[in-house]
Amino acid sequence: MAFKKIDFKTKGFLKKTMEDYNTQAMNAHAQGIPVAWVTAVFPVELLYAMDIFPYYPENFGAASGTHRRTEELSLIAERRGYSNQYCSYAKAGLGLMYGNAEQAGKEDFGGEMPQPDLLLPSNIQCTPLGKWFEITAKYYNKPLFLMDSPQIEASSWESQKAYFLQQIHELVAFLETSTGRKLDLDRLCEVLNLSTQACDLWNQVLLFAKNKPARITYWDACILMGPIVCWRGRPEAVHYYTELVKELEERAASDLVAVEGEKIRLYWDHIPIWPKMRYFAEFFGNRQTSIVCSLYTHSWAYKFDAAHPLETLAESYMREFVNYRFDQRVEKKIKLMREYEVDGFIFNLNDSCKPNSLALIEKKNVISERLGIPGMLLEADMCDPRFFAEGPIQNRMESFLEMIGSKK
Amino acid sequence: MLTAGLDIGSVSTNAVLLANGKLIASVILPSGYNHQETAERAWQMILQQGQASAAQLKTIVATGYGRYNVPFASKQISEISCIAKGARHWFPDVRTVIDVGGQDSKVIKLDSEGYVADFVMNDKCAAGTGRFIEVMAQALQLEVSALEQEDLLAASGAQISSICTVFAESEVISLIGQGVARPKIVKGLHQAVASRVGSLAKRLKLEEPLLVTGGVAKNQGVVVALAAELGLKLLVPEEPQLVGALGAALIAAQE
Repeated sequence: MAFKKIDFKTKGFLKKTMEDYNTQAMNAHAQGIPVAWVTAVFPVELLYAMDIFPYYPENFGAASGTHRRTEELSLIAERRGYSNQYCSYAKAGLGLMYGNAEQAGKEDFGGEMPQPDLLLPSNIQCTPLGKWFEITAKYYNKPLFLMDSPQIEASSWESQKAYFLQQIHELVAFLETSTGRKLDLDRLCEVLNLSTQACDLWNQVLLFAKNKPARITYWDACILMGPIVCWRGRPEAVHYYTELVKELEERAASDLVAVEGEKIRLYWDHIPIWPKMRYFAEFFGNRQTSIVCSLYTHSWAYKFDAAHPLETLAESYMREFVNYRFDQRVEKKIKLMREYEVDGFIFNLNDSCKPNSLALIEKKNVISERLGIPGMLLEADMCDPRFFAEGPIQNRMESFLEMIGSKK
Repeated sequence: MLTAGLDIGSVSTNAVLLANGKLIASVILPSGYNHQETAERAWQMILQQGQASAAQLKTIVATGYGRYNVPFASKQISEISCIAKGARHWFPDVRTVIDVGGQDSKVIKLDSEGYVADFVMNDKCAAGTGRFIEVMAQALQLEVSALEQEDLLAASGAQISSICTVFAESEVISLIGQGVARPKIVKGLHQAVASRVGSLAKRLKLEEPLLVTGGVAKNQGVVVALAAELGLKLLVPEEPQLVGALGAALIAAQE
């Protein structure tokens, strides 16, 4: 049974929502709106409330993967001495920055990002992204504010919250001084409510993969997640996900499934291999296998308490699964695997995303023993095709599915 | 009932013919560049050896990296499943198989019922595989088949990095330059392969009986070094290269 991907009817709406985001990002300066570069897990609600445009350069990194530009851009960064094992999002961004400079006055280098007025990294996800921002800040001579979120330990919960809240206050002061815009708390509450609504809708979307067979897969979710990352805190995200939930309800009512004849359900960690999205969706689809969940797509589940706007931001953004301890990270994976009733899991040892690849072999062993389900590791970069060897990867995945299938 | 299994590996193509589960013909050929042609040749050879005709066979299973290059195969199955099946047939109690092939090494754990319970494969690197040994034999001007005897002549092995085939080759050349005796280098190389494969194997909880298969298992130098590395007793089938093809033919019989 050959796999046939069923397009979403709201595909055009998604495309327009994301195009609007990029257009606004590129037009912000012309409209006198400052652009702040942010990492994916950052209290952007503050920015939207202050009419500062948050731009996510990680999206450019991922897009460079899907558009197969990462190698070309990485080579520009590598010529300047960056390691080929440095984060491929960062390499793509740095490659673009240096490439644009090398091409200055010549033909357009393509694949634009808006230049930053402010750089706002957080190290909740990782340190390498912050370094990329630091280099960019120096290059454009723009101010940078780092939100520091150390590893979460239950024993130091309260002091960590106080530490992060203090930084939120400092961030507000920094933004007010740098842009001359004042934070209006009522406006912030509106943004927080919009953000909570969008997160709630996004999580309703993900739940459609709990159905057996699943109505959507991880491969769908990786594309559908665009607005929850970029437009979180704005009506655009709420509008789009409201329509998407409606469509998925229709799918459920008409028995439309993501993978016809679904036999195997798997968990995937973590970021997809962007240049090979279609390959993976077809590989698994053709083998009646649905990837139904991942901590990556389940990352946006904020429930803000607008009565305490700054405290709620601190509580929500001080933690992300990446800054939890080994055992807590294992628990989070196990919880999802149980909820989505998976038969096994695949972990990608993604060399350029070291925080997510940390101790994956041990995680695999611990989880397999706890849940009695098999796991497999593959090795490939999220964007850089030079680290993708199709033959060995496919061989491993086929063996893995045969192993699960033989016991079913 | 006649069934056949073909294992098209990166180095060798192995084929077996079974009559009611009993091995009646087998062949091992170099895979070469043209997998389709080699598969066809291996196929004709086992038919001739087993005095059979193609029409008598309903199911032919292909395995190995070249499994999709066998147009006459009725099914393709990965070598993990086939090696497990073949190993279990010859050694019914086996719980772990370490297969060291031409371009990859794999460790397979079987449960008490003979199902594959877990497996690991080497990274994108040829160190710890047959290719590593081939490259080194060439640098030492030895036939691969002569390595085992050479190993026996040394009391201890030279220290060789097991991280990368290319760098290890430079290391071997520099050892030759330093006048280190060839047997000592060979033993060192076998230990390097054992260390690499051993560290892969230790990712799984190893259980005995433990079988070593694949072309490299023919080299006792590697097997002895691996047993020492793991501290476990290793079994080697009489024809370690045929285990995958045997498993494929057995799976064909079930179809």
